[in-house]
Amino acid sequence: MDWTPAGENALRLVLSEHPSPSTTQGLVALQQEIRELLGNAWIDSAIGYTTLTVFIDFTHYPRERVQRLLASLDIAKITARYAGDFFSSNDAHVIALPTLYSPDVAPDLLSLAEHKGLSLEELIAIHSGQVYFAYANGFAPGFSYLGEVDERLAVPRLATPRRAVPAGSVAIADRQTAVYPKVSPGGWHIIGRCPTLLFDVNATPPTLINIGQWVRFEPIDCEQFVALGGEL
Amino acid sequence: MTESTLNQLIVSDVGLLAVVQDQGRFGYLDSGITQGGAIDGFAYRLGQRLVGNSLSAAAIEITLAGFRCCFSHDTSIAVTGADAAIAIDGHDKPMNTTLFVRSGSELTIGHSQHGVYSYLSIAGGVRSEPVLGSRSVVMRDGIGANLCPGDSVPYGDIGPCLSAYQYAAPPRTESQLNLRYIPGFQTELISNAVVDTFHNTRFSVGHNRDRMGIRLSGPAVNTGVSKLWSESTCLGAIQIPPDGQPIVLLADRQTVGGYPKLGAVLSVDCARLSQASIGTPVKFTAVDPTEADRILWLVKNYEAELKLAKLRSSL
Repeated sequence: MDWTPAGENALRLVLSEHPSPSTTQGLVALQQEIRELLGNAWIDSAIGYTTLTVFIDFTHYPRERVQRLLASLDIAKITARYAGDFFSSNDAHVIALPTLYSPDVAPDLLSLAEHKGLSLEELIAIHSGQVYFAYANGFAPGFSYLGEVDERLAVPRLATPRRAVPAGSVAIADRQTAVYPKVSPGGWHIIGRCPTLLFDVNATPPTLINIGQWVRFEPIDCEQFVALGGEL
Repeated sequence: MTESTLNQLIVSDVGLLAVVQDQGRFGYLDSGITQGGAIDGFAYRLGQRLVGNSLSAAAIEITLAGFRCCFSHDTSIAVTGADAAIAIDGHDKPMNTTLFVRSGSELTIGHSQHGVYSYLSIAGGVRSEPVLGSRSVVMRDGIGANLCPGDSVPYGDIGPCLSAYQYAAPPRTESQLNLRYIPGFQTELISNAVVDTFHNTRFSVGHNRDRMGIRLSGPAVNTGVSKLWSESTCLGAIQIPPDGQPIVLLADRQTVGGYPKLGAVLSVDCARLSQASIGTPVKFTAVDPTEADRILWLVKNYEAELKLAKLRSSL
């Protein structure tokens, strides 16, 4: 495994060919180790589905020295040490996202059910009946790419993205699901709405869902939605 | 400690867009928070230097059109970046120069004649409320907001600079941009023939541009790469979407992306690209990382050694 350049101040590593929760857990472990190793040379880092990109201040820390340091890491050992340690899909560690599945807040709910030959109840049961893994954050602050959605619900993105998807919209694209933390353009199919705040600049960390965590959607009704701060 | 809220500039005209920017926000990519920061780092740092600020102080970045404001207290300012006519209380003043403004003075920055982004730097820096370690505004993410007429913006209460300087900027004559980039990301998946063609192609700066990135137009680049797992982007990343028209990602880029990338343009050249007008011819030249380190070292030391001509003692 090689560290290759990602522009003038970053190096990237492809940990595996395909994404999986264990790959992501390995990337998180590696990220922590490297942050400690690099100290002040570390500027930032970002996890992708299969990659770790580390931003480094090469104007103060010579590239060769940093590269030697990174090359000395026993990647297999680091990723194995943490495997299964931090993250558990056991109930206690799963983030619950209360979700109102209703056509009133979800313009694609009925059409998706019809398209998939499912009743509304079946669709809700499938989407809320499993845990999802946070593979990456991006697109917008607090937006987590969650997977994998049951094949029975998988659907390509909308041909024309919406200009403004309401905050809290729970949506599906391919075998991924996500919650839009704030109003933004979006091309995913909206099937519900979650009243939980996903991004708060005053919180540490500012995101509710962090890479490597498990998430579950919990069906709620209108009253609960409003009681939890949701706006209809 | 009281951060003075008494020293304020009162904005009366923002033109197309004016936002507070500093060096950017670091350490939050995994939360989906972009780097942001002044898009022309050179002009931004020059401005800070002219008013005696640290290089991390915040300035106001003005896009293309005119800007007008008044100052509540005596201070020193400098306007750098895109060429524009500037005046204080109706008197023409030079750019790239430490300027003294009195309490109640009005500054006007005209429409830019050359370039896109201008910077208004103020002694003591703009003191808007920092968010996650930076004052940089990222409108798309709702971090801070663009300035509106009537807004008042706090600035440092250190008073005017003791000395005034001028940077005699050589005229910008960039009729063609040569963007140096470090190959990387998916280059190894793309055939040499495609990369050669990419190097020999003359692109031009397209209409579609903002703080996130600049789309170039030219013959389509066919990478032959289809399925990719989304990964971190970086400043200057050369992204090739399905239509084959490269996009160079800039300060407010999305943190992750799934389009193939050929590499990333050096930050110094991103700054030049950001100031280029629509239609400017662009070509790419690959440099290796060691060469890039050397270029950045030179730029950094050149900036540190900038011969700012001392004009006078301003007090």
